[in-house]
Amino acid sequence: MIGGSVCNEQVSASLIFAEGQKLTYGNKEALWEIFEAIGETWQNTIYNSNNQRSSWFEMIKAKTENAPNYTGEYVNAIYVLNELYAQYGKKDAFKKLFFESGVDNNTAPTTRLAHCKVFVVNEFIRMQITAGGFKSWGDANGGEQAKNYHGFLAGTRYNRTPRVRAFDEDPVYSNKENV
Amino acid sequence: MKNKYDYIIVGAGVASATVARGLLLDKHDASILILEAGPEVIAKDRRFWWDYITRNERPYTYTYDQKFEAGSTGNIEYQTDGVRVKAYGGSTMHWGAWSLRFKPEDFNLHTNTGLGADWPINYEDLESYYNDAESFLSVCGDEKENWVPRSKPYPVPPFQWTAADGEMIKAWEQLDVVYQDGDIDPGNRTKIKSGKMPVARYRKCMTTGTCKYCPIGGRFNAQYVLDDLKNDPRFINFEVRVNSPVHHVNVSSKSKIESVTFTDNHNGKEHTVSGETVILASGAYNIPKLLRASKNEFWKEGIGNDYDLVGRFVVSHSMLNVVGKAKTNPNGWFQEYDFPTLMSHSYNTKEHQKKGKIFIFKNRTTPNTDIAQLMIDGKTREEIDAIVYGEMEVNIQAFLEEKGKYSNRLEARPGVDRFGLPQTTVHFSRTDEEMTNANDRLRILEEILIKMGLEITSSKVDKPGGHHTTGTARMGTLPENSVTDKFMRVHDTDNLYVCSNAAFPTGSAVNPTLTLTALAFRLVEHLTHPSKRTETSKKKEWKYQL
Amino acid sequence: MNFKNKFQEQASKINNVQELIAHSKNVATDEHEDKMFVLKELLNNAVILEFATIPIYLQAMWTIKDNKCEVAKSIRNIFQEEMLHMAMVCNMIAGIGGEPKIYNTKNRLSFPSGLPGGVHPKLFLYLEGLNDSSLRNFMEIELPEEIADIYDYDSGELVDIGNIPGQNGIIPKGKHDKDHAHNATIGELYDRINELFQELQPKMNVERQLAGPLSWWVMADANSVSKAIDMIKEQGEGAENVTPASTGMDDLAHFYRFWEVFYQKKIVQEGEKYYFKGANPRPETYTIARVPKGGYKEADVSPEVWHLTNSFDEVYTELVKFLEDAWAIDGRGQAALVNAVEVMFKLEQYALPLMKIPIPGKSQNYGPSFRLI
Repeated sequence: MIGGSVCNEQVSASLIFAEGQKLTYGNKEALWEIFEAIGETWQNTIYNSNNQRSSWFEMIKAKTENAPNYTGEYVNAIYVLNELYAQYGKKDAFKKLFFESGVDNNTAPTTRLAHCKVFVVNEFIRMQITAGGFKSWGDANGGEQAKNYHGFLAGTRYNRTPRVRAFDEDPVYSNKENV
Repeated sequence: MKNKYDYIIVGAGVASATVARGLLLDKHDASILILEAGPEVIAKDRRFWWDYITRNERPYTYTYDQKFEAGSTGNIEYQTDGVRVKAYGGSTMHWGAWSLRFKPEDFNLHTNTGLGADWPINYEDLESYYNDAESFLSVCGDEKENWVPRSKPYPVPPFQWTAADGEMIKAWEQLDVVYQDGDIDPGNRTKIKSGKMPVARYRKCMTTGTCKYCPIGGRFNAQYVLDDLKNDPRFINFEVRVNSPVHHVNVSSKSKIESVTFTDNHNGKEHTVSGETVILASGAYNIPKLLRASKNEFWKEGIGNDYDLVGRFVVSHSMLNVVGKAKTNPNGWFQEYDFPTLMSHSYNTKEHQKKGKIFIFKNRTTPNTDIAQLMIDGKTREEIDAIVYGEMEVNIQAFLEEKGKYSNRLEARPGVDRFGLPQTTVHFSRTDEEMTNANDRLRILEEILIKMGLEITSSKVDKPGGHHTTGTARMGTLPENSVTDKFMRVHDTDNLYVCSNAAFPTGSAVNPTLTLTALAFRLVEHLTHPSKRTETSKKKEWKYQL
Repeated sequence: MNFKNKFQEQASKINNVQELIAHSKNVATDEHEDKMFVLKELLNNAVILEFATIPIYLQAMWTIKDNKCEVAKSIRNIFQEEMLHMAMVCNMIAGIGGEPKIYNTKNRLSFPSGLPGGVHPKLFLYLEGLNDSSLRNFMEIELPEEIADIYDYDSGELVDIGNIPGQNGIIPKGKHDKDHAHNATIGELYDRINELFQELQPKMNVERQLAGPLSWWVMADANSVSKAIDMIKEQGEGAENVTPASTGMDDLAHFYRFWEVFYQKKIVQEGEKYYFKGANPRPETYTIARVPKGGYKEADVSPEVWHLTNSFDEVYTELVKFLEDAWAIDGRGQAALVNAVEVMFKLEQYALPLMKIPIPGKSQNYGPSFRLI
């Protein structure tokens, strides 16, 4: 069990009601820190997290400007993080949250900490991987860096470089003139 | 809404969109009413897309038959839940868009094998419409391939094979095509030949890999066509009504269909609208139920059902699934496309028809690692790397052709779904011989994985998934052995058509939609220029045991 | 519009890029706000310049019958790079708190036209498909300050680029009359923008900047702006001395790629010299007539043609509005950019059929008018 009285406060399993609510600029900056921490922790930031920021931000907007509104979950995540920062310091707070939370991702979340993990952290992880974090894999043993992933908007296939890690001996595409 | 239309089309899927578009391009002010039982689900919505990415939710799955709304009897369970979208756009909302032509032998299954049925037309009769269909659906295929005779190349180039596909390509191109007993060995040995799966993707496809809810409309969806038709200022008499399930087709005489009766699901009111021509395009599940429900003094057992054939001969595809594993995945391959790119027709030929054709393809979701899930589970980078580059699974799959039988029937059962449409039950059984043949086919797939150096971890014939259901109002030359004629018109009627997979006498080993679209183009020509078309091949009337 | 002082008011009224650059140098060193103001004006001129090339490249590309051929791919690549440049400039604008204006009723892009901002007074750009005249114009837009010497391999002679077509569309004979004034202007524009960024070192707001299939990176600081400007100049217009090899023989700068299509031979490097060697035949195209000033009017064309050309204009207008919305202060951000990308493909749906329709009584076909509605 990590965190203190805030993290472990019991809340209902359903999405925290937030219709009509909005995030402030400060809220968004705080949430961005979670996103950046994901890339740092798993060392899969490609160049600069800022390059995924507009996609991340679009997701946040979509999640808070439409029903069901996630603003309550996002603000909850900030409460949770603030307590974790106070208890463990920023760096370790994320380590605890990502690796030692004790939250079962497959059951309904009934504490503030569990809500933070399931509705915010886990979703940010999926988004981070989809938007480019996946590129950190593929080349560990000299192979090609990964090029595509479920959800990644790669660009049209009429570009000169392939959109996927392609089979070299493809008779149509291996001939450079045909690409 | 008017009282009378030139055309009433039941259903708002790909068949309906193709026919409506063709009719309107021919005559801009044709009056057409499309009645769709289900709702309209917004496409390309950003929130829906993000919910798909982060929570794997899709906004149209609620329209599926639920498990408790559909059942099956017989010695095989026939999967009906989750197979079709009941909404504006139909099943093209969720389809993978694999778009393959049937082959010449598929039109003569009975002549070739003594089983199943023949179509009342041949491949040549449909060939030019296949070109139209491929252009319309924007099918991306390899123009160098020659699996079937074609007079025009694919409209768009194919997608590249992935590096992971390469392993399977190298393996099966070293393997001879084997003939099992029941197959007709042509004498010359050939190796298994690799092909590129033709898929219906517009040029704007960005290989985003979220095909089931494409954020930019890259994958063909009938919804987009219908939207364009609705927004086209030239088509002033074109209407689409959603939430309007049709419960009854009404006649004024045996041969003359007069109107349809539907319910407005908003207020429960019933309406009857007349049409000069009525086209049923609501799918192989709905159409037989609707025909049988439309009883009247002229059609005591339901329209087209004098010989009790409506709903019979139902087939879909069974999936053969073999999984193999390798100890390592040094390149860290994972899923990149959301459609398969590698396929082979080497076992989808006339020689294999008797025993059962199979259409082989590599499952696009393997090899794969769900990296995000591993992070969610709290694995460290090192642990994730070990998994990504560690054990690798490869899944080879095949669709198995099923042959229609009199005793296999799709029909209504008591109860309605959430839209008021009758629930479904499918009576489906395979013979022992068919079971044996299906299991024998697994050996072919296993050999391929073994040649790749993999260890087989599972090998089975899955229950038929109802996604490709066909045959329930099949075409034929006589009412005694079929429901519809060679133009998909219900026998003994003047103006009732079935534009659906329901009309297919055989299911072949490939997905039905391209063929359905070709038939829709042909139907448009039949309706707008009936004198123009002459059959290029004559098919004699034939009688055969049911 | 609020102006703090005369400097700002004047800056907002200047339409000519050269004059604006000169005016921007009049600002006192410590007038931070004035510098930011004129920087935004300069940036907006850059956006409009980048965007101005897009209609003419697109329609040239569409007239090519085989869209998979080398030339079509090359032009498509150039178009994508122009969109990329435009997106990066939009990021710069958003980064300093502004919003780009492309749908500009005052400075409205219409054809035929010169480049916006009076950048090249002698240039007349028509919507006329892919032909000698348009290709030579494209080369002119992308002209580097110093053109590399390239010899014809067969004749051994140094190849001259010749002159730009006159208003009648005919290329006058004779050697290239070197007037690099315009190109210097584009180069100067980007140089001045860069200078101001380096002087100001503004805190860049990343929140409204977009990264994605059209733009590669976000302008997090003055350093990334500098990188971006270097790339824009190297790939496209405004370059000082780009040779074929500077970007790589497989990835020639736009100027050289257009020259290859114009001259109908490929550029190769042998030793220290460049040669035009190896046939690069002009691909088969639909011959479209020059779209008249103001575009095709409803009264002058058949209903079928009007449907296509008007629908095209509607979609084109949608595209421009989505692009602006993507970087607007209260705009929809990345969501609008995704819409813009999709709509770009919708243009073809109307352009391609339109280009196949012959104009009655003429041997040429219609083409899209690119009108903003």
